[in-house]
Amino acid sequence: MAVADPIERPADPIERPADPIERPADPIERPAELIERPAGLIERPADRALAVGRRVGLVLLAAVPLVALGLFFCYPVVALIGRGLWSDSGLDLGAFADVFGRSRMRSLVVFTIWQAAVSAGLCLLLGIPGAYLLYRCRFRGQAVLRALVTVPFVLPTVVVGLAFRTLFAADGPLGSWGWDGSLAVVLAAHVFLNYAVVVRTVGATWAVLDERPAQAARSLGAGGVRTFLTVTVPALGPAIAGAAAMVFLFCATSFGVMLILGGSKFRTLETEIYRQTTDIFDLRTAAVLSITQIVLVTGVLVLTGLLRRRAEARLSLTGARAGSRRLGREALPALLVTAAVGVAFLAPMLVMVLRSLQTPTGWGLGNYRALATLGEDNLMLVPVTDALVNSLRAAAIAAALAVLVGVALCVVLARRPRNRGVGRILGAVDTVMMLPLGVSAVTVGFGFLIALDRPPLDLRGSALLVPIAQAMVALPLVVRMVLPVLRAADDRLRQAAATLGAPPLRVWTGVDLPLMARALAGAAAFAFAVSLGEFGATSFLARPQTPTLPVVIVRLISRPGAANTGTALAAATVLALACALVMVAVDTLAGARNAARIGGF
Amino acid sequence: MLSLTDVRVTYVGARGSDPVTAVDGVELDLADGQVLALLGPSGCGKSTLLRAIAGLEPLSGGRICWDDTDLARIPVHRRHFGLMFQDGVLFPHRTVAGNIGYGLRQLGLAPARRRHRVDELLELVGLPGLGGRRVTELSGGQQQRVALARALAPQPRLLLLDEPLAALDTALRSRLLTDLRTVLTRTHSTALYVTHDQGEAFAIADRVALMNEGRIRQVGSPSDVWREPADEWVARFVGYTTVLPVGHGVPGLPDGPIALRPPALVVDPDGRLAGRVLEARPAPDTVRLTVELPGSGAVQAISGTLPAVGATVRLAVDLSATAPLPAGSAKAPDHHAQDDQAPDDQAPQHHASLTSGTVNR
Repeated sequence: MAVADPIERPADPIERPADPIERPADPIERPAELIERPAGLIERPADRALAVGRRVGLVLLAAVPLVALGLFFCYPVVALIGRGLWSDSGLDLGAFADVFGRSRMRSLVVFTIWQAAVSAGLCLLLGIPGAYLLYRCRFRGQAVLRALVTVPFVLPTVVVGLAFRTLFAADGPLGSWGWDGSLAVVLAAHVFLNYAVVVRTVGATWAVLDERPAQAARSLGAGGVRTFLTVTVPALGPAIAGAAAMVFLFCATSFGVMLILGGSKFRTLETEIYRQTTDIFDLRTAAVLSITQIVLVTGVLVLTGLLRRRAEARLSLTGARAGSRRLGREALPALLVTAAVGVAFLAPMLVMVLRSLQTPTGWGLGNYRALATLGEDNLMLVPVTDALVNSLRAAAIAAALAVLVGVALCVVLARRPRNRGVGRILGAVDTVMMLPLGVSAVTVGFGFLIALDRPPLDLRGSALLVPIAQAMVALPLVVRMVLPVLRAADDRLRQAAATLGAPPLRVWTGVDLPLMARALAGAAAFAFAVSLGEFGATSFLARPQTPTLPVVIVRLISRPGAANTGTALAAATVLALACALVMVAVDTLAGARNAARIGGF
Repeated sequence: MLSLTDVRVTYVGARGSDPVTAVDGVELDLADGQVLALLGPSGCGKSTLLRAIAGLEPLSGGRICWDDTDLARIPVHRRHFGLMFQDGVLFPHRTVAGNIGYGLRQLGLAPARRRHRVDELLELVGLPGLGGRRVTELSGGQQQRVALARALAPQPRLLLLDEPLAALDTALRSRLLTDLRTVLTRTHSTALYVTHDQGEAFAIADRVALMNEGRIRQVGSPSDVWREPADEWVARFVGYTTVLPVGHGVPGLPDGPIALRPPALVVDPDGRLAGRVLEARPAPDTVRLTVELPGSGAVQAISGTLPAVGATVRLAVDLSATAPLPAGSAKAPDHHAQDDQAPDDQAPQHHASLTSGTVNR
């Protein structure tokens, strides 16, 4: 079929006189030029410089977090592992066979995975109804509840361990249950700590979930339960799986809780690494266990990365209120579950606070007054109040570092490169940056000690050692909170700003920064609270003269004596209060309406 | 003035597949003060071309020039080309005035002059006094008015409009279309208006460029395109529903390929043609028929009354609703001849049903 090519048609449209639109005979005068502009567009040398500078800037921006990660995470970890596995005769791979030849070590790995999986399962079971109630429904006081639910997550693990131990101790309020020293208490503490991860992560997706597919399913004859299972759960799937993986990671590497509640009966990889390095000085075994843990964590992280990318692809910042509904009869099961969780969560906190007010001479503030002393028998070098100041200072520096490095990283990771190779590199960086989340804080802390103690990097005496370690632990949280917001922002907003004459940096300050401001505030608060309660790494690095509050608490409860325990409880209450205040303040600042937007992980 | 020479834009395809050519060798000129509508079905590459002109898509070939300056190395923010999106894309964290004033701030205008200019534009787009509103409180139509004001505020050299009315309902669309035309005329804007709606394109533009599968099929004034479509695809896209090939043998119609709109054949007892009614549908001011002409297949026609299906009617020819096509540009009639979907709201389907045999590749 021979068809004429229309482009070759000999019609020159410009020469045609037809003008179908009648222009006004006397047009309104063209407004005067707003500013003097050069008559034509001329390429300037600055344009070239800008294009180059932009690339260089992005590379530098990517270099900051990567160098930080390499220097303050990879290097110490590798140094520790190397110290254990590298002998005069070269690499000592026989260590693996030796360590896993012992049945105790094999069951250690199995137990670590098993308890983390059970904890994650329990968290999902209890957390999904909570996500529905606090994010999908709409009722008065919801914002406050959302903030309160988050508090346990930022509570220091040693505080939580202490609270649960007090609650279930043989002479405690629930001593008659006989749970003291049982695995049930460990699992309960893990659920307590990580409930918010499920609620916030699943809730953030649920809040913006399009309701219409579910309505379509109903119109096609599916009942409420069937609709939930066949439409809602698959849509929430990536978020649920992502939350479960996060909880699994946190529990698999949990340290403070295990140390206080597990005692010598329950050991995980993390506590065993600690024991091998500090008590037995068997670095060979510790290195093998560290590598095992890193392999385990990396596997879970790669899986999470895949799931997360699917979840982020669906996340939309628009229509956040579209699906919310008033509390109705169908919310009753969720309401009951969540109310029960609330009561169960309040109990250990309440007991801790009450016990802190109990002194050998009756009720009173004696334990709090003791915070300014050196403890019974002058147990400590400095009073607890000094430790609190140390903690606050270190946490503030750590939060600032984590936010600075995290934002630099997010700006780079949020880019959608046209080049597929660059895209793959960014994806890999994204996953690697999550490693500090799961790699043993003990490994990091001990690695710091043996790696950063000689030139060119001698930080032993530096007051920055503790904040840097804490910042590395908090960094993944900052990235997880800020990155999705930047990724979900409509790229056309930036394009609109550019067509209106804003150069790249101005686009960033005018569009990206305001859009992520809330997430950034939330991330800073999280980083601060997590640093405040960080114990695993800090326990290695804090010098005796400048301990942090969690270190002091553990020191106090490791010594017998009712007075020391009382002081520890008072200190834990103060620490819990500080963490809770930060979270509530940020959620309140963010505003009730927008609280849903900060905090999925 | 804007001139495009052999412009190509290619996307990296899905893993393993070939690159997708979205814009395939486009040549186009746009003189200062003119409004050019880029008209084509969904997915024809018209929005990609617009974004390439704005500087948001890299070219894989060809040149885009403004007054003989190649724009390749000039970054987006220095081109001063205003861009208006289909759904506004207003800055959610700024007020109406903050949105409109954004470009003025980049120009370094003093606050007093900026306020004055913002008020001027609010007046121009018919939203006086709404400067303090949050943009999330505005209706869809108001958001588009603000988007237009925002794009116009810094007096762009060229205004690029990407289906600015497509997200609005019909009544609002026609009202905004009139307003938009008035604004473009009053501000003497040079504008490129992307749309899939031929009604919009013909109403607003000095010239129309029809685009399909990454190529420009015809450029001309609306009346040129209307009177002399370049080929069968263009004819069908602008509303011709029947195309008869060479040797169609219908008495009263000139020989050669010819495109017919429904009013070209009118039921008339004195008509020279006779045919059997296959389908009759009442439309607002007429009855639309599908009539089978012996030897010519099914054609569209109109009638004042509703005939019975299967009845034989006589048809008269109205040549003013026909357009000759260049020889060789039409094909033998087939089932497409029955395709009388209104092109203005059915463009994608229309396009899909046409690609099988009409496109010259």
